[in-house]
Amino acid sequence: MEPELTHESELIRRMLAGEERAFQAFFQSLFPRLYRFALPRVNRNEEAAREVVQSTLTKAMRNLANYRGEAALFTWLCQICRREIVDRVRAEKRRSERVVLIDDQPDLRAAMESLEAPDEYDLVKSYGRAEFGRLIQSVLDRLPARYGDALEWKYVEGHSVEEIGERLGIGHTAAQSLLARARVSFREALEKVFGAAAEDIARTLES
Amino acid sequence: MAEHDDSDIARVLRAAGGRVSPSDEMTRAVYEAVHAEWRATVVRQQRKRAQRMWLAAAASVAVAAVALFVGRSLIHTPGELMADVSRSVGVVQFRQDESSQWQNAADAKGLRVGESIHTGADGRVALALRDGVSLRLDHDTNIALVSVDRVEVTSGAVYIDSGVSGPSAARLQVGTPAGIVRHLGTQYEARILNSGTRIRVREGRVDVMRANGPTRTLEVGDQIVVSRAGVEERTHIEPSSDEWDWASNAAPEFDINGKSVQDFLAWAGRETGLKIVFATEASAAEARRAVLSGSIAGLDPNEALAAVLPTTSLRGTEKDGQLVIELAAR
Repeated sequence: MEPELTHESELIRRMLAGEERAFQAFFQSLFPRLYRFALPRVNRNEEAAREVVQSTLTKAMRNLANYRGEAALFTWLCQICRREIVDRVRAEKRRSERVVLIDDQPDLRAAMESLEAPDEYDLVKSYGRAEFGRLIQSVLDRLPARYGDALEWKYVEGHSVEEIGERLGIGHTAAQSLLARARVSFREALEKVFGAAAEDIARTLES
Repeated sequence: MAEHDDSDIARVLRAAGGRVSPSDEMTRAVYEAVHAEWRATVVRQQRKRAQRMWLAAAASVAVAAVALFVGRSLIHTPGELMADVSRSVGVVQFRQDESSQWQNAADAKGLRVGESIHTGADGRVALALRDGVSLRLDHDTNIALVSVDRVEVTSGAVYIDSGVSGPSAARLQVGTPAGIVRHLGTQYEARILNSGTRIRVREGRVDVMRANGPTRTLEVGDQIVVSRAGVEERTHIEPSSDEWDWASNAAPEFDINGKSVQDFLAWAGRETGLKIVFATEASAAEARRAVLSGSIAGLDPNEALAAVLPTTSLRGTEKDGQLVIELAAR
């Protein structure tokens, strides 16, 4: 398997050239994240999430050549997905049931998409532990390719570095290096979004 | 905090809980749909690049224009006539491009480079390409006619019979997720499965040219399945297996009127995968001499054999992949 494809414009170029592995890397990295983005926005209806994500990705395929790299690939897909969800809600005429998520609040959405912290935001107090936990998961999904997966495999599922390397198709040393970069990236993202260090966030969630 | 002290991250992630993942079944279904759309996009990009090259060449001096022609597969005249519909069953449609409406393929006055073809759940079609190649599509199949010697399969299955034309026949290339399949005088099938791409050979040889792997040559009876991860599994399939029946059912009809029994047997042998063997020179001579009249319209090749042979003084016995033809007992 290829080394981690971190340069998104290069990934798109290779997909447009018909490279099968580039498509596989794209799909493996982005489909689960997009699914998690859609699911809470369609009342946790799995079939509805599948439909909007499939529709989003097929539209993205048709417009691949239009991706300019100005926004992160995941952000670009989320923009398409939001439109698909709105269209679906309109079609179903169930606006009253639409769930407003904390990361759809305009200021926090901007923060998530640019990973910049808004001023003064006590999320746990405002929205509860469960929703705050989901926000942490959203931060994971917005990290560069496979960082979120690697962190979850190690710290939530308890896999060894060796096992993580096997999953990613890279050697032990490369897996260690990827985890180190992932940790740095995750800490920075938490700091930017929540204005707090990982240690403080952990204490808040555990209290 | 030292970077290697990761207890804070561990605690944040455990408190947040694991992320949900889509089921394997859902992942496969979405993968297939999106992969098909991606392949169609790649084909369009190739077509656009080829058209840009063609236009640039046409606008420049002749010598410079020739230098830009990098291969037959890339260059074509947009809209060049490529195939005729020999036979269609059920829903079979074509469209000129993504912005066009689907139209009934049976109404088309020939199919052209750049067009796409789709068969429905009940549809099958046999296309006659130049140089005598027969291209047949199974149910739920989508292909794009990329150039006069290249088609791209985005879903479903195709069967290629290069006919009895010799080595000088154009080498049709079939693009699949597993790579490009090129025949060397053959009958073969390329099918896109949930698990990957399957290629099987009934007659002759094919080369499977992988984008990221070695080229594989398959011969009669060879079958490989190439998974999405690029893992190959090789098995065997008999040329006369009934798994080939769908291709026979989609075959163009054979008009027996005025044809010799020998010609009829040659056709039936190709379509059933049976090797025609004459038990004696006398039976071979009789097959050359006897001329048929009538019609086998609506009969598949096996049914046609059962219907036609009893009307002649020949009989056929199937054994070990052969149809042995001998004179009927008087």
